[in-house]
Amino acid sequence: MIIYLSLLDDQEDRSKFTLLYNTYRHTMMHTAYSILNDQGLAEDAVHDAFVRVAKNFGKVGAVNSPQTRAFLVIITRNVALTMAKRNGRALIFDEESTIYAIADNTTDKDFENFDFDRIVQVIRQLPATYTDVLYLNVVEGYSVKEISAIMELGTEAVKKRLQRGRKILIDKLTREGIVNG
Amino acid sequence: MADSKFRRALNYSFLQEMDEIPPQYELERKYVFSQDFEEKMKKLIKSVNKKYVYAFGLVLPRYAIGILMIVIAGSVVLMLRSRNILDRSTARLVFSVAELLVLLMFGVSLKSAGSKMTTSIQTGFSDTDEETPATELEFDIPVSPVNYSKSNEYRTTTLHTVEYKDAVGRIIYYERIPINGGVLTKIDTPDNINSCKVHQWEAIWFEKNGQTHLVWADSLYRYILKGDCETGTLIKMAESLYK
Repeated sequence: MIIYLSLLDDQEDRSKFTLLYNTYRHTMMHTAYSILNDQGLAEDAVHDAFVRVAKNFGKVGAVNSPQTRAFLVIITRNVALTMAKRNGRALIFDEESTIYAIADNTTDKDFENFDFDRIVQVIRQLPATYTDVLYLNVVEGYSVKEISAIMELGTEAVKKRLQRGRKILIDKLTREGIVNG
Repeated sequence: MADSKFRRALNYSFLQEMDEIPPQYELERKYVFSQDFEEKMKKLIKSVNKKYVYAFGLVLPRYAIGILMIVIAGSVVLMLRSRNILDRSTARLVFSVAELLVLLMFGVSLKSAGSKMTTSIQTGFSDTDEETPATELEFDIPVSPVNYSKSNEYRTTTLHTVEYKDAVGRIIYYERIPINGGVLTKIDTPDNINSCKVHQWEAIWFEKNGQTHLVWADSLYRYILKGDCETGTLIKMAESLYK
């Protein structure tokens, strides 16, 4: 029997959960609504996101921190995108149809030769499907297994997104380099 | 974790994205939650407070899971006993151990939860910030204008700048500038600059125009904090960012 037993054990945690709710529900609503364009669905997404937060409560840091805010936005966006996909409301980036001529072993070092501002610009053009897992892995340092639990995705899917996200970025930057060069 | 250019770029793009989210007061005006949602959230928060268990995407009471596990353990022991795999005394022993384990996992916690239940129900859901410990929030700096006690006043002056009036009426000016971008604020510093630390970061403080200034930088931002209060208070406020 698979039972999730990540419970919020002490008073501090319980207050923290309520504080998270009071602090971020509007931000989460904004994130969900911008994807779903429907008040009812967005509310469902925020609720489901909070359920997921409860399941991953150990990973939530200080309530008033940019990291926590980003973490909640990522969870909400993931829930909302899944709902949108289910309801046919979103155009999901077709991962399989895009073939890139970049090697699979792209690493963070491959970005060192590119201009910082251009990397930022290209990252911002990348679908959230990729940026969210990249952020959790590269910036926050979560393992593939942890991201898989947060995003409720298979570990292979997470690995694929991490790899493809880097490849798409390098591909864009390289092509741009040739055009501009 | 190496601070690569890619990592900094990813972080910066996220900070940009977060800064594009409208401030809290605008969102509060824009989104009014339905009664259904409030009720659903009230139940979720209550369930969290009363130590429920999330199983198969459902919220189930912890004691119910305990009972279910005892029933399952009993059934398994009976099945093994009926097939003569276990003799009577071993079966009893196995069941007692299983029961003890389940009680330890669920029963004891249930007992401790019970004593707190009344308080939990009373404070479990609140639409206000009343249950936030005032002493903690008093010194919390709003990183973006989302974290403030309702008794306090704040005003966003630029994207990263907040004037914050605390419970005792002191106005604290707070500015946050991303290291990889943003406009750097020029500060004319006096001669007597003192060094100190904010969390693990090197910082400086000085007095100017009757105000104490505290300036420091971490891996993401440069910060300026100034107000008519003692250095220790400013450092305490600054360190609340890293709690």
